[in-house]
Amino acid sequence: MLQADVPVYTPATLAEARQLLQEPGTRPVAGGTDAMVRFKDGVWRPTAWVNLLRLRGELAYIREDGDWLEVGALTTFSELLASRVVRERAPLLAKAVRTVGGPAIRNMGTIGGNIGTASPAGDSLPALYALDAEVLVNGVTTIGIAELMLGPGRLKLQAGDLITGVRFRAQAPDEVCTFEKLGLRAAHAISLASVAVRLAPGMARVALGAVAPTVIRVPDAEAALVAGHAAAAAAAAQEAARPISDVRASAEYRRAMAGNLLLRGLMRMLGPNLVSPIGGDPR
Amino acid sequence: MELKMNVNGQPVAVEVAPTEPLLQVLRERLGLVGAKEPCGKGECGGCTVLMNGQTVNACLVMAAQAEGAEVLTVEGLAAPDGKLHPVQQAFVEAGAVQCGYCMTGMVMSAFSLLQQNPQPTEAEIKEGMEGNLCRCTGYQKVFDAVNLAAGRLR
Repeated sequence: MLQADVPVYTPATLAEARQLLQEPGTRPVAGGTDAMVRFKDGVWRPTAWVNLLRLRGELAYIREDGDWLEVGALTTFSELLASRVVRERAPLLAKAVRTVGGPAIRNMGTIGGNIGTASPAGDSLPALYALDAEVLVNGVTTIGIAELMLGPGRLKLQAGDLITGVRFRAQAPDEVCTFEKLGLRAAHAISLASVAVRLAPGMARVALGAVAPTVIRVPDAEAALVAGHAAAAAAAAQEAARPISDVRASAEYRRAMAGNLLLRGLMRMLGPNLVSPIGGDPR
Repeated sequence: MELKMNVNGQPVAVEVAPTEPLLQVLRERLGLVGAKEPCGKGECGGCTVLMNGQTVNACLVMAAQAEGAEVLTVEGLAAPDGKLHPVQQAFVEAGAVQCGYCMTGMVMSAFSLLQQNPQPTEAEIKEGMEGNLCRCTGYQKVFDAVNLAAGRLR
């Protein structure tokens, strides 16, 4: 079938891209792995697309800046997976990225696109929340990722604003982390629920994916983990979840899985003994 | 717009709608119907081709995004005299083909996997073939075929 014939502009500089995006109704497209699906389905009906691929020279990079890492918006998931810096200094992000699609999706899909689509099931997002990531807008300003995400597909951005990167502190060598994702099959499946966890002495981060209108952090679960209470943390995760029922899973199931995935992650990180003495089923 | 690409080693210039999927350009404008459109949404891998040396879902690439690209489709794998590429030959010999609808995507993913990792483990083969669905559910012989091809390409 032919698509509605909408113009596609391919700017050569960030400044030019921002100029084009000032026009109401335009939308940026990077790897297209979300954009084309939504365009074909008629969910997104832009008046023109602004194709960002020619900005890769400017916006595809993985940079170390002291304790911080910065990733350009057009960096693909394949590039993130291949990066020794990401594997060693942001292992949580590496684990999350490994679960995105298959190779063909990871070759085109970008981290900026995953943020821009703002799906609660975006697989890199719980990791970015747990890393307290800041999103770079227009190459100059930063906004906390939780502040940026308003709801499914909705971002706190103005016309002409473009996500240009994301930055976060590198993980400490002594911390442990995991990303647990539940889909309808092991590979190449959208999340029904997911959880990103980081643990270090006196520090815990818990972020849930696909169980609320946006990814959410769970401060009560984090406090429980710092205090060493795994079952209480799982209960807090279930309490915080605000899932929907859809064709893939019921809200009740997703809520239960939010807690179970956290427990599964804790066992994977720390061994079964952390959880079992406290009492198995959090329900 | 006029789209210029290099497809299977040949320069092409073809009039397209800028948002038209690369898959449609290949199939309907260039007559290269090897890549299939089973889902059209990046869910199944049936349209897998190589663009600039990497596998992509051709159904999700806008024509305008393929400007200047090097594209390799399954039609470009066999030698000019028709002799199958070792990956194709291995799929034949392993009996990996059932209904065949997913096959060209499977072959392109296997070709790309073996380019990047000539000696994949069983787990690496499964990871490398992620995103290619076979609704006959005949995965084991596909993995056998990739293994066989790896042995011959070594």
